[in-house]
Amino acid sequence: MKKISRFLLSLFCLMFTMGCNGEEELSPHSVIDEGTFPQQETELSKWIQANYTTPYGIDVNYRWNKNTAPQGSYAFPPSIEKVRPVLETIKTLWIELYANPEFKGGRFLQGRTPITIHLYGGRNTDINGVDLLSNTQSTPIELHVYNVNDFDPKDSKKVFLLMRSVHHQYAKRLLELFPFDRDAFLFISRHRYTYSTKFMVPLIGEFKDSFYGLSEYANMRGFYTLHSFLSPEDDVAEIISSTLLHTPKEIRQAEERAKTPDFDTDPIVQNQYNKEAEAAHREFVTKQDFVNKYFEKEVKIPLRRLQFISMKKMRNYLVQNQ
Amino acid sequence: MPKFLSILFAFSLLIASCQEENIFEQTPTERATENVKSLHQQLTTAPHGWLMTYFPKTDSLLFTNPNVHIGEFEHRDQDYGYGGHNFLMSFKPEGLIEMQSDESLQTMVEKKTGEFEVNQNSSTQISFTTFNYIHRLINEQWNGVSDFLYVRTDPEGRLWFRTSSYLEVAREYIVLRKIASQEERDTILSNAYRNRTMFEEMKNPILTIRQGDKIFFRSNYKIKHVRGKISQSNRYYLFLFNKTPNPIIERYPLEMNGLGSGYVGTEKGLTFMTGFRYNKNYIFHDFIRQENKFVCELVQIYDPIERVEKWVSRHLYPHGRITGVIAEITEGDQ
Repeated sequence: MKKISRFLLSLFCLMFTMGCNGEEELSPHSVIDEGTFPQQETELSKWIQANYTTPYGIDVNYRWNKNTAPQGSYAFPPSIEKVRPVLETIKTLWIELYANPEFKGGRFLQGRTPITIHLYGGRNTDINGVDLLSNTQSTPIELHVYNVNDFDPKDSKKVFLLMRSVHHQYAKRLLELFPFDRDAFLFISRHRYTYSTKFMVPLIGEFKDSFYGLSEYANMRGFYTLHSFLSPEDDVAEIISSTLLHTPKEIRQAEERAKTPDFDTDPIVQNQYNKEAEAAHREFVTKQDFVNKYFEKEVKIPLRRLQFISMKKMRNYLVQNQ
Repeated sequence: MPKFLSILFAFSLLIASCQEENIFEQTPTERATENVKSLHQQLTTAPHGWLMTYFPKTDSLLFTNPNVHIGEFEHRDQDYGYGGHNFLMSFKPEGLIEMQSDESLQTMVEKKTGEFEVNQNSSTQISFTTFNYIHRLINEQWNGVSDFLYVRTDPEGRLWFRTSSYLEVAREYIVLRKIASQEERDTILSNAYRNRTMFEEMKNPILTIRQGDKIFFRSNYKIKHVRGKISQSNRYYLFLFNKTPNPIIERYPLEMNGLGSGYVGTEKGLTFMTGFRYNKNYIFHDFIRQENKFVCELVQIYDPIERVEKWVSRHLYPHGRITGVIAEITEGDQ
């Protein structure tokens, strides 16, 4: 009986142990990636790796990902053949600008670049039908570039438009890296911010040529551009972006426009116009001074010097691409 | 000792009773993965590729009641709906896709290679991840998208899709049909293009809906006479009936009604979505080209899936029950 018991006990232990031995190994492939394929290494991917990812730690995404595109926009993936010209332009006119040896020995961008650059073929239009300079549903740590399919490095207007958006977005990144006194800046034109593009809709046709540049409509209200009206952050970003893409002479002309009142034969109305122009000019120069000091004290780069190098680079770039 | 054996036996039973019975063979993740794999395999194993017919912006309430009065200023181009496009697609197992489209003579011939993914989002979906012809429909006019949600495969092996653009039904029509042979592949887009352009170049086309000699609807308003050209950019056509002519100015009738629909060229003729909807049964979608006219003769069939009688085109279902209800598009006078 004892032997039988021992035999049964041993058999039970053996079965118990074997019963626990049924675990299967995990699949080496992620279920999330089913249906997708490892991207083939192409000339373009090698170029991106060598020019963006390795030296600056920036990932470039030109494949469609619904989650990164703003809802309601008409964004779609860019033409592959347009990706490199756009990236080359951005590298020459933005990365090489801030990576100039004059600024922190060429190490200014270290740890300060966006993580990813997303490229789209289509426009970045909001609900009012206005093309925006940045993705309002994202943060400045990611750079979003639109209209890639329309880009032509020989067309100065398209190069200008591309760089307006890039400089605008990187300016917002700088505002995150080097905080500015928002309350003090907001105080200067606090009654003028719209936080919506609705006001721009009737202006699109009227100011077609200056819609993304220095705008008379904006100057006469103490701003650089129409997009400055959107928020204090946009206002600062627009001052930086416009400064880097316009000559000092063009900026001075904008300042002149700010202090030039409208004309009316009625002295009471004219007096009102004079007061408005005075206020617009005061706001224009106060904000300009604020941003210059912010760059000098916080970013530790003289904005005027950056503007000079930027304009020089732009001139050379356009000449080389003719 | 018998007590010890009893305890051991009871313990064995207890352990055996703890073993879970696997009622469902697969986990939800495995089922989703299987859907992805299955769709991917279907797409990549079609030797001659697929034809996608894509109407991104249909409206089943627009110009679909022949009794509704259409005002003098309610039938301009901007009031029209939108038609469809054809895309010839060859999916490769390594994630590449070759695409051609019926947009122009060049896009019909020139294959554009891009990348695609089949993945699981809100449901199993195809995403066209690099730029291709289909992305040209992503704009204010067409409202196209890059991601297509798989809905079902019908008994004829066609794959039906939808997008997340609309909550309502019947706002888009996306079907992938497997190409049967190399010969069909070589001719399908050029035939579709030829049929579409023939329709677009017709001078004052007339739509007649009849059963035998009894005419239910016949358009008579000369659109070309007024505007010079039919609306080709939207691929939409409105057939108008001048109910009360204007005795003074012929081109501005006092009262009109009509039927309209978006269209796309097909290998045999034209397909209209959401179709000319004369009443709940007389809905004309698929027309076959017969020399210089397009004809849609309705026959009745029983749909075993939806369990309903359906009125469909005779050239697609030759064994259907004859109804004698015919719609014809013919060329009018100059």
